[in-house]
Amino acid sequence: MTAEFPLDNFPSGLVVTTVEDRQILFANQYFYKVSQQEPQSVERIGLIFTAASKIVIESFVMPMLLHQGHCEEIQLTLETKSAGRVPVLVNARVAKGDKAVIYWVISTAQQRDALYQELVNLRNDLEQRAEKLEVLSQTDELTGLMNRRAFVARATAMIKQALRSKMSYSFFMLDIDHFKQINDQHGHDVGDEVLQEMGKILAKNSRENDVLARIGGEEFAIVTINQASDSPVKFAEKLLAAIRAEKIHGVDITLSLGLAISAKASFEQLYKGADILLYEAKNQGRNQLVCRDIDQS
Amino acid sequence: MPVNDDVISRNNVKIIGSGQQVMLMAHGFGCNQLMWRFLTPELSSQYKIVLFDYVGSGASNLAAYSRQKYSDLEGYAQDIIDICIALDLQNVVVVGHSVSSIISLIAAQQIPERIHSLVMVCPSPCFLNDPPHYMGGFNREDLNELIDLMDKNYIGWAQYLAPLVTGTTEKNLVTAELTDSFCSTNPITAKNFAKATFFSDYRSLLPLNSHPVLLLQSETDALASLFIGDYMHKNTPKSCLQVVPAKGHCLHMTHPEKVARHIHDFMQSVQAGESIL
Repeated sequence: MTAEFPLDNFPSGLVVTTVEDRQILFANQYFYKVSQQEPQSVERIGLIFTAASKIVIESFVMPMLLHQGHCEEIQLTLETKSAGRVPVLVNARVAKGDKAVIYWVISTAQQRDALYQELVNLRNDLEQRAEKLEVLSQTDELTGLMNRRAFVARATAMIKQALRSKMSYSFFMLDIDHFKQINDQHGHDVGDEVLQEMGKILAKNSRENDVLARIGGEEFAIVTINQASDSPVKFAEKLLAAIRAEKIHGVDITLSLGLAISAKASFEQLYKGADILLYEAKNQGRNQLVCRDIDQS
Repeated sequence: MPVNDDVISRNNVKIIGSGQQVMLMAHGFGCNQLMWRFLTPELSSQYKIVLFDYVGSGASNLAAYSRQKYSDLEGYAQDIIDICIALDLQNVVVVGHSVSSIISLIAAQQIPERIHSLVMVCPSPCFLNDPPHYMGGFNREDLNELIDLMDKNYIGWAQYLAPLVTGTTEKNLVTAELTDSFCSTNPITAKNFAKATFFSDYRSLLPLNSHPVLLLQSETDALASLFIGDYMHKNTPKSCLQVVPAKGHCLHMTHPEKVARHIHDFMQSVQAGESIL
């Protein structure tokens, strides 16, 4: 043990600085060793840290020292000449007196850093998986559109928003005519392709804020808030025409469409209304639109 | 005067001091409104001081937090605008620390009729270097490392990992309360604020300024160099630059009396209609 300088034997960097610009008043040998600095070459403690650490010091460490007089377990990074970046753990406290000073303890933290990096990676991985699962749980696998569950949630929220802003809204229930025959005559592969193409055509013709989903076997639904510039009937006719114009896998496809319009109905009421109108369209010979303002009926 | 209580509790708004002139103080990245406690005693006899926490900081209401809204500085500026409208504040002096200087500039350009002037303590319009003509002080790698470092610090977190592992969604998570820590590196709000602050570039807003601006620059500041103070002054119409003979990035905490004196002088010169260019 070095009798004159016992502080030099501590396996931690011990530093005393001024408060304002953190000028080094005292530092033990370990501090200079770990930071790979000569006493005469480093005037202020901030100079030994990476740029990112400086932001942490100015945004967290100094405000905490000024506000509460101490801060503990702050991880920072030293920038050293030959050992590169060295993670360290910093504790500091302000000692008030005639001239206030800050006492710093700086310990290397390679292993802690490795553990934390693992935790950070694990957390990022969990976050990504959770995000993927969320997307999967809301998506119809075949068409890539929203599934029924996501549709109910989004459409309900949209209707609440329309009610708050006192706007009317529309529920389009669409069903592919004679879909069973397509499956029987051409096979399920072609049936699936028809559903996929249908999804693409509807997505292409929908507007950005429309809630569009495949809600059942050959059933699709769209909920929209009505815009003064674009009537729901015109939009429905545009969809029917777009489908008629396309031949999917050599098969002519038509749709029946029930359109329920309201300014006060709940999601469930609107859903039921559109369903009834869809059946009317089917009963009247298919390939057509049946529309009603359900607030009037 | 109609008061929107939602905004008042959402942003933990506190009003202190007396006086006709309203002064709204906007804390910077990292901490909360408590950072003004050294400066307010110097000003509270002459000004009515409005303090608040941004949504996601301090004792704000986390349920009002939206990751998307607060991913750029416009979201934070909306908090200032909401408070000015909720309290029907007129003729407001906005004092902003660091990034809040730019946030208050964004707000002032949206509600110019409510703003009297802006006091910017250690501001920077862009922390990124854009050589050869602009040196914000940091490279993109430095700022990526900052995000990494914040992940490895556990200041003011409110149980982040456990709910994630047990499958609790973010929506449930943000209804949890923030800890009462003065500063926070929590991975939802603080990291988002860090990205909004340090990866942004609002230099183009400076020439659009129309209010009197006091720029308080520190002699040595690791986050905002003298070059930046000079750049702000040259590019901001109606601005006046004061280099305070002091060091560090928190002048309002280390030298509150000097900051207060500059604010008094600035207010007097603006009120006297002196040219401050």
